[in-house]
Amino acid sequence: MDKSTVITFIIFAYLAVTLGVGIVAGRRASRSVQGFVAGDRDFGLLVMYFITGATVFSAFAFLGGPGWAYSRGAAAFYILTYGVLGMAPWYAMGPKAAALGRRFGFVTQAQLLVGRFPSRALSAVMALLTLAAFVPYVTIQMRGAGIVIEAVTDGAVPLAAGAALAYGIVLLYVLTSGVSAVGWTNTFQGVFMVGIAWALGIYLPNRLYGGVGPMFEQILANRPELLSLPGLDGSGEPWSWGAYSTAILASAIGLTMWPHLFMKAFTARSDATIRRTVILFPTFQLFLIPVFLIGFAGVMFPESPEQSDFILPFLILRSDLPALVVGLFCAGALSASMSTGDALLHGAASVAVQDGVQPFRSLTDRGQRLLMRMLVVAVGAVAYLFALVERFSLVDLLLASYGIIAQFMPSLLSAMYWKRATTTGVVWGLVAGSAVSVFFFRFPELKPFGMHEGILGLVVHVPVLLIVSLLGKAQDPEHVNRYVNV
Amino acid sequence: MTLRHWQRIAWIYHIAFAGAVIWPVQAFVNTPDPFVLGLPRQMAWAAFWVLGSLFVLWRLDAARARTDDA
Repeated sequence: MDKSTVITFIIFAYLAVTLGVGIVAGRRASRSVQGFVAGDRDFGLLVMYFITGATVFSAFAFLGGPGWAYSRGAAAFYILTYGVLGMAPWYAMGPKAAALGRRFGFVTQAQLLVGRFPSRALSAVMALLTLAAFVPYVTIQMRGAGIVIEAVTDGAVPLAAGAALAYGIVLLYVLTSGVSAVGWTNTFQGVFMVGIAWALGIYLPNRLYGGVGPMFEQILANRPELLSLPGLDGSGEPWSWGAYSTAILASAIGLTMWPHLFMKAFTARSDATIRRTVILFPTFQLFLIPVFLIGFAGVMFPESPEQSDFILPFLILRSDLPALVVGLFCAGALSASMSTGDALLHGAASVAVQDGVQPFRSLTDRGQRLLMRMLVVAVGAVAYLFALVERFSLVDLLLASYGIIAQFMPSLLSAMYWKRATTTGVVWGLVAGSAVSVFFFRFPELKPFGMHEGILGLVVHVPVLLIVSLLGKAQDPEHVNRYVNV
Repeated sequence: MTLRHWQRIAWIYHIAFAGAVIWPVQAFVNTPDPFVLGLPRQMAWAAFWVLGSLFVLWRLDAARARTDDA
């Protein structure tokens, strides 16, 4: 068999196994909204570990991470730090959110918030902001899948067709099996992507430079600016400390608040499962080390890809690797893309129906599941269109999404921990913070010290929430205690 | 140490972690050499804090298990 046949065979075998795992997984779940959205609250440690890790680490980590290490050097290290900082608060928050979910029947983040702060407008705003943040995030995943397939087939399968193929499979298993498919496919994909990343991260520096140490010695001698923090910006100029530091903080806060991750607290079998998932998360986080090594391996390579996000497939194809290794790499990268994309599509549809529609028009259980399935397809279609036309770097798009999602943090913390918070305070805080975040995203040249727009939004959000809440009438203590004293 | 001690340590550790990887502390750990296990020192610094989190949260959970058993 020639090389391209072997690669194509491995890709199709991987996609077939993923589809099979996804469809079989759904047989265990009940045919209800709780089964489709929260997996009947029955995920154990293995699935929770991989659903968390594989959902967090996406095409952004697998392709954008090496792309940043290659083109922006030490700036990429911010990605290594924020994951654990964002996940650690879940050790305390996760079991509390799960307990509230069990008590009140919540399956989404906004339901928890609106339970404490009754407001249909708040529910709709949360749904809109979530969708606004999810679409670019799904776009990244689709584009990542398309990039990989286009690169390994040397353009024979263009980005548009590759993304359509990978996400056609995702749609099939999410529509069939809901979150159960997301959980079990992520377990399969998580094992795959971590294994491939470590294997390539050690192999490529050894093959190209004789080892990791010699690789960095050569980079230090020839491109020392790449090994000095805060690294470089997108145009190759030195990045600012303000931008680097606030990228870490905004991303950590955003990670804690991502609705598709937050919702997984409602899927866990027990509080111990959530806590152990958080404890084990750093082991998943360290998979970024080989990912960066792959990117750095491209720095002294004699040729360059057209875009930095292509560096990983570019190196793989020019390192004269066996077809089997190239095919497995391709499957690993597709795993990274699809394992996040499926959770996002499922989360977007669940949030849109539960938080955007249900508060305004009550649907039957069957009606909700039908609408969710229709929205999975609709969100996928919109993201696909963006994937074909957008020109931004994968990481830049993701950073913009984190700015919006970071605004959920003060509201959710208030719902679970602050007795004096009021509905008006939460709504005004959310509106003010989001407006500031969007303003600075639109006019980046006005950002003080290059700070991340999400952090600038929070600088306005938190005081508005505090002041408006304290000036208003406190909520009924009995109602508040049912949320805060869990 | 009790559960309460480990809860306090976990909070302090993760606040210190956040402080250690942003400006101004990170600016003092900003030369790539000496390499640590072949990695630039800043990268090893970040990995060190990530691994420390694993240890602190593991000890916290062990303290919680002891409290639950008692």
